[in-house]
Amino acid sequence: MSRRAAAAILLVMAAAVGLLLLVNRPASSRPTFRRRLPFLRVTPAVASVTARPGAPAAPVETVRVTLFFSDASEGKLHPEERDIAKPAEPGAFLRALFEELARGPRRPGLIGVLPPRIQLRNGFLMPSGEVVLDIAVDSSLSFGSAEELSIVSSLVDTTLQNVANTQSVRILVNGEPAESLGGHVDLTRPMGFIRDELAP
Amino acid sequence: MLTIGAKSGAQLLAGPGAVQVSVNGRSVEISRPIRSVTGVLYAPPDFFEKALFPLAGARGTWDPSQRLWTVTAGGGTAPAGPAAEPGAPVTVDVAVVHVDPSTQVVLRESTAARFEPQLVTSGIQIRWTDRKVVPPFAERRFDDPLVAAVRFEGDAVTVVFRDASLTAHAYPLTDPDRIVVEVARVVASPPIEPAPPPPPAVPGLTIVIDPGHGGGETGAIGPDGLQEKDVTLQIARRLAAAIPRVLSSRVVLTRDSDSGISLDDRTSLANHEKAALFLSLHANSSRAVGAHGSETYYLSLETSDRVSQDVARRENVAPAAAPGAPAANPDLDFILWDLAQSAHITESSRLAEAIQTQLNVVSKTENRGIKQAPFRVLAGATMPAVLVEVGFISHPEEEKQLRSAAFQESVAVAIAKAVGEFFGRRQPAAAPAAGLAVTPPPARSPGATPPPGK
Repeated sequence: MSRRAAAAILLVMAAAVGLLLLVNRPASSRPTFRRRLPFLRVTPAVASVTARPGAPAAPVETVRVTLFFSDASEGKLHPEERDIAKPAEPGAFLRALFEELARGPRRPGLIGVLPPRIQLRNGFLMPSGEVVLDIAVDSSLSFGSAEELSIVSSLVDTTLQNVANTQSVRILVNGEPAESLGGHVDLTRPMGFIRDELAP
Repeated sequence: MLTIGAKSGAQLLAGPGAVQVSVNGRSVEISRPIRSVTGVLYAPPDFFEKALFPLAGARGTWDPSQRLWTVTAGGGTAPAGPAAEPGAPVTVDVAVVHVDPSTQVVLRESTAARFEPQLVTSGIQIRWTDRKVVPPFAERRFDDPLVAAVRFEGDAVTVVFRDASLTAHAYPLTDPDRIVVEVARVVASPPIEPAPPPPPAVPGLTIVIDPGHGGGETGAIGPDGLQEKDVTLQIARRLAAAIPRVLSSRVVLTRDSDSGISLDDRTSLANHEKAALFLSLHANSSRAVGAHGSETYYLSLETSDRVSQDVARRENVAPAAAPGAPAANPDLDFILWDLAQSAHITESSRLAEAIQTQLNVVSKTENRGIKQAPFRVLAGATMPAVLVEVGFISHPEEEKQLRSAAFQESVAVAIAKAVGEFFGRRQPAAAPAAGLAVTPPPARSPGATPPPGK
């Protein structure tokens, strides 16, 4: 009798353990994600609600960014703010910033700094806080110092101004480390914020 | 442009790239152009044969197998016109005069005759080429400190030296017709020697000029098609000529032709030459249409604090490498290269100020001022180093200026003047600091002695 009772208790306990294991299995084997760094430095701007009559209101979450463009007279860099759609991850944010720089300024008196034959191949935010911008440069492009300084400063300063948790920007040319874009500005090391080119 | 003047007032003009040289206003063609390699001019043998030796009233023959010039005086300007009837023998008498430190042997001729002097082991031999000779004697000994004897054999006379340390040259004089043989001790260089390459003017102070871009890398291109690489080379050549006029120095160009060099190799050359200054010449461009004027840059050290900390941290970890051994840690090497210029940043800013001041005064370009930027070509320089933007090639008016020889020359003179001022105010003890031995991977060891300019 007592042996039968003991067997029953054992069976119940085994079932309970099995049930516990079954319940806990999906949770314990779930892949552990590394904690992702926040990459949006600025507070997202107020969602712009496009209220079209008849259409369902589709609120688009946006983020306000600061872009650096050159003035037409002296070539110094000036900030310009605008709202863009909130990107999902750092790579998309870097691409969006580049595209906005390539699109050019809206303020009169400013000019774009990126020639049309410079493209972004890829942008990465490394865990170390270094941003890597891999840009494609057409071999036929040539620059003077001032133009090259504007391009590099605008890319570096726009990136560091907007992407949180970044200390430096490293620029690769056509997927590889390069001395410079066109014979002037040092690209062999990561760059911090370049203040010399900003308008006073 | 090279100008050589002879005692007679004759003049020779030649320069890099020339295939025609001007000898006393007469154009002489040479087989290959004169080349300038790191500031030293190289000329083909026929330059010496057709231009240089005739200028000095000499004649030279080049033996390529022995790489030996045989130079004889008197060949170039010897009077050719025979005054007497052809073939008539020439009567010669001999006088030996010693005027310290040389001895003159005068061979008086009854009529002018062609001759060829040649140094032989015992002395100098004069051979008459178009006449028979009536000798006054076969051999006569002289009680002279330099000349032992004069000996006639056939149509030649040999002036026999006392010892082997003597040399001689011969030249004709007229009225009366005579050949003068001057015998003297060998001083620095005997007259018969392969032409040595000209030595650098002043070893000690070397200035490296870097004409920006080159080869496939055109640099900026102006609206009318002017290329930055051409402007920088032209101004660099003018500057290389202008600097020695204000400062006793040796000037080395990182390139003297349309060739491409990496930025680090340009700086490496300056480090290897232990240059006292590094001047990188550029022409600017900007998308801003209003941008114009000259600018002088020195290195921006915005990130240097962080980099220094990085070096300190790494140096505490990395084992010390043997001097001269390739750096075990490429990152360390890279960071040291970046630090090289930081030791000279004050001097570089002073140099930039001197140059910009002169550019403003002389070239009438607007002052865009003295600026700092993270330019790669300045980063590794172990001496005061600046990058001069002489004007905006993207600006149509300045493109025209940059094309003109007069503007290029005025820019070169302005920079040279500033360089002279920079050294004029400098403390004499301020030698190029060798505290940081920095070499990028492709460069030669900075500890090595630079080869003599050749």
